[in-house]
Amino acid sequence: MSNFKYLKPEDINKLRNYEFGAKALVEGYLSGRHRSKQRGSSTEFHEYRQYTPGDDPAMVDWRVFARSDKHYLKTFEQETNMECTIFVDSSASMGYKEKAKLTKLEYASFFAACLAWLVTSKKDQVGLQIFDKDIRHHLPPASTRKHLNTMLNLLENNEPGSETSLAEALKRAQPLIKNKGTIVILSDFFDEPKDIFQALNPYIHRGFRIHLFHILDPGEISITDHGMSKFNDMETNESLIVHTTNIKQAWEQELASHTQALRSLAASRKVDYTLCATTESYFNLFDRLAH
Amino acid sequence: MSLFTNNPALYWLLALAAIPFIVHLIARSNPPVHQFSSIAFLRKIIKKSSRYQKPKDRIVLLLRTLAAAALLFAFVQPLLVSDKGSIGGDDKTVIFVIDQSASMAASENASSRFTIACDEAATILSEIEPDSANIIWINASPEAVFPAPGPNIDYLTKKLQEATHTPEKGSINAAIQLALDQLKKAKGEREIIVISDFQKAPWESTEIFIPESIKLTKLAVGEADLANIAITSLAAFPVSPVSGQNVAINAQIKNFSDQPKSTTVYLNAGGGRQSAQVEIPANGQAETEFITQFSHQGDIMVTASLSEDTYREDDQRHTIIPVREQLKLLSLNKKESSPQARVLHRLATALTWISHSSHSQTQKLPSIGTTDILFIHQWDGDNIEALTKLANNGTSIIVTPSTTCKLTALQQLLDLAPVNSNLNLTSDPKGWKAATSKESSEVFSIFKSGEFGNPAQGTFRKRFELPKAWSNASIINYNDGIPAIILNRKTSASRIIWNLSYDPAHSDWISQEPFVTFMAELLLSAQPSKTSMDNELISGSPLSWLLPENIDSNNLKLKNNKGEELTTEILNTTQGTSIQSTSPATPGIYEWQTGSSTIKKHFVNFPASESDLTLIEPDDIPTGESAKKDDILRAEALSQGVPMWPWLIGATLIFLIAESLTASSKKNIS
Repeated sequence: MSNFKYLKPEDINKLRNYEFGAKALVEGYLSGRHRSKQRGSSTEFHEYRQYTPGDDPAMVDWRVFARSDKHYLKTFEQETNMECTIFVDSSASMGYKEKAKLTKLEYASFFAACLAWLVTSKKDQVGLQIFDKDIRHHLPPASTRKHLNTMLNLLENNEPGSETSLAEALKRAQPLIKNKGTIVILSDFFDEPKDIFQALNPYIHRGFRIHLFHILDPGEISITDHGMSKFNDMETNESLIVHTTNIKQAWEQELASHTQALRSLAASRKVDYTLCATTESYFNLFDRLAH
Repeated sequence: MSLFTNNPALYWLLALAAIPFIVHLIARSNPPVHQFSSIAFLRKIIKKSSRYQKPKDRIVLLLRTLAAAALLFAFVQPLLVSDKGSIGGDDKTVIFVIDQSASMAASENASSRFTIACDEAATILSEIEPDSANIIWINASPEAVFPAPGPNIDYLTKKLQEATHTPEKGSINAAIQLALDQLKKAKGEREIIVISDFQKAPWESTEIFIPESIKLTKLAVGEADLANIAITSLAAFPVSPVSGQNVAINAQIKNFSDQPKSTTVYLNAGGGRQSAQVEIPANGQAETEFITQFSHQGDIMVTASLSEDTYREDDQRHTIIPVREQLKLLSLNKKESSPQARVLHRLATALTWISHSSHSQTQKLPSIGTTDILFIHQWDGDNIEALTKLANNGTSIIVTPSTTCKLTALQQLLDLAPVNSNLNLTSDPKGWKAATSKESSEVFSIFKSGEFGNPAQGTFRKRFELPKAWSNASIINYNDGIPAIILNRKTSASRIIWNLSYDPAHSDWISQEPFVTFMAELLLSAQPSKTSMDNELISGSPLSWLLPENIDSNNLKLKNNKGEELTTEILNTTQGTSIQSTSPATPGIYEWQTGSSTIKKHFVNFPASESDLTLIEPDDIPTGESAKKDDILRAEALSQGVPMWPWLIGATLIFLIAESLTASSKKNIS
């Protein structure tokens, strides 16, 4: 059983029922649509099947052909070497919580841990990028148990850092992610949408499947009425005195405008975008992955 | 206005009004700190909304401060007190001078002006609760409810409820003077409240003098000028006709409105009825004339009436025409039996409506009223003053001068142009002819057709050389321009100089056919037209009659035109026994009866000056202050001090609602 903070035994039990989620990650998205450039990365034999036009001739088992004069393909359990990279925003703003039990970072960490377990449980590879304005930790994709433990430890020891710059982090991560795969970004996206998608464009062109999970505390979605209050920025430590009653509506309008911009840009680039509150169960996010 | 407070010790509470401001400052200087993920968005929002938000914040702060100040000020219990108010403990005496005149009967919507006036007086009386009060009615004889202002407000209120308007003119000055007299003895605050429609006619000419120590308040109850048509005059010509004589009854109708009106005038003269349609110009008048005759002597009751209009009080007018059997002609002669007197006697024999008597000039002049026409033959020019007095009082004077008469006497009697010559008697065997010189004179109206010939037909061999300068006043001139008959009718009676001989020895005029006709017409036209005021009484005055000696007052009854008997009282005056009604007269016809016979008639008409319902603004009357009922009540409340706390609580609520609305107002800044 797991003793990790972000991977609880009961969560693992639940995740066993989310098999389709990982399957969707691997098969629903890649199978029959992309050819793997990494041949023989998976070695677990699955079955022989007869060659059909369109199959890769390189997959033909020539030994069987020599013996039976028939074309058979030797298939393995995974046709591709799936890689999933999880970006966890660890800027100071992710340490915010007001109405929820978890900070946004904790929420993101729980989801990241579960997702990592799910991916590795299907023998796929999962990597981790912990960033704020820079890449703080880079864990290349792997599918071993040890790798998962390392990832869970990293998450557990992770603390909210300084200012955030997702765009900068994505730029810096680009040379580190060598193989095409899936990118899952968990962030509060307090950054300019245009900058974010500018940084995502190279990944999109390389054929990455990208999921953006916009994690917000309910206190951010609908600002709590505190009256006259002094707000301290968790990233810059700047402060501002405002009357929350006066800005409540404007805040909601501004946030709606921001999320709409993210949603529009995501839709135009076939990027999956999900806004989620930290009061929701992070298991709901797996449903988004299944789509 | 002054502001007093019941709890000045709590003034310190007002300092707490600064709490919202202090709270605002404290809240800004040391607000609770909240860690927030990103204030970049907040900065963006504030940048967008600051133009709208800052003034809004200041307004909200101001409203909160005002709400707190109003609430706290309520605890001090302020009182708003008028500077004109009485000092506590002073007595207050109020006299209501209420217009009860005829114009107050005009209706304003459903109620008459008088009813409104009484209602408003009752309201004011009950609200201001003076220490003593009184009511004085403005009518023909103003009178007060109490002999002096008293504390019995309930009785005054009851009197206000019972009172009705009177069809009388209002004696404004007398009413005000009565109020001033009553207030002389009053101490403390003294006030006269005049409640009236402020009818233009009586009030425009009224000057009111009020001492500075007495406050005069004018309260108008009439809202607008009312259109009205009224019969303002009804007169008969001649005033006292003889039976069978044509009588012209003239009715004058006035239109007090800006629109021309058409109405029907009905006349009831001694039972005979006539009607006429009359067109009256806007703000103008029209006259209609009814010609009638009366076959018998006696006092004939005549009533003219109009189709009813909005103001009915003045739609009827009465008069009494005393129809006589004969005109009284008295001739004064130097000799017992002069030829001229004989001619007149024969004339009277022919004209049955003339009663002729002849006296020698040694007798005194007749007393006033005993004769209609006094014919003085061979007048010496004496007794001019007595004759003038007789003429002024309605006796027509005809004089033929004597040789001793001076022109100045004739000039003085008829008020003719002065001349410097002597009066000479001349004769000419051939004689002179005469002719009418003023055919427009009513004397010759019958001769206009030519059927009756030349009224001065004949030859005259003796005459006085009257100055030709007087010929413009004559109605008949000799052919050479010497005046033959000079007629002057400046008063109600005629004055005539007779220079046309009817002595058979000096003219053949009396044998001419037109003579009798001319004399009859002349005597009828010389008939006095002075109106006898004996029968007419003024509305509002008692129906009074100074009894002749032969009338027994005990059997007299006074009845109105409905046949109702009115109560009377007998007064013994220096002039004799008088009987009068106990209640004031209202328009109508009244009869004094003994048994079943009527021995005297009186008529009372609506005062014509009350028919003009045009109003003036109370401010146009320089004395006093004009006010509405609410103004008076407010002023009274202010003088006693109006507690401000309910208003302050109300203001607090209003400020809080305004603050709430302002604070919750949203502006889309996206």
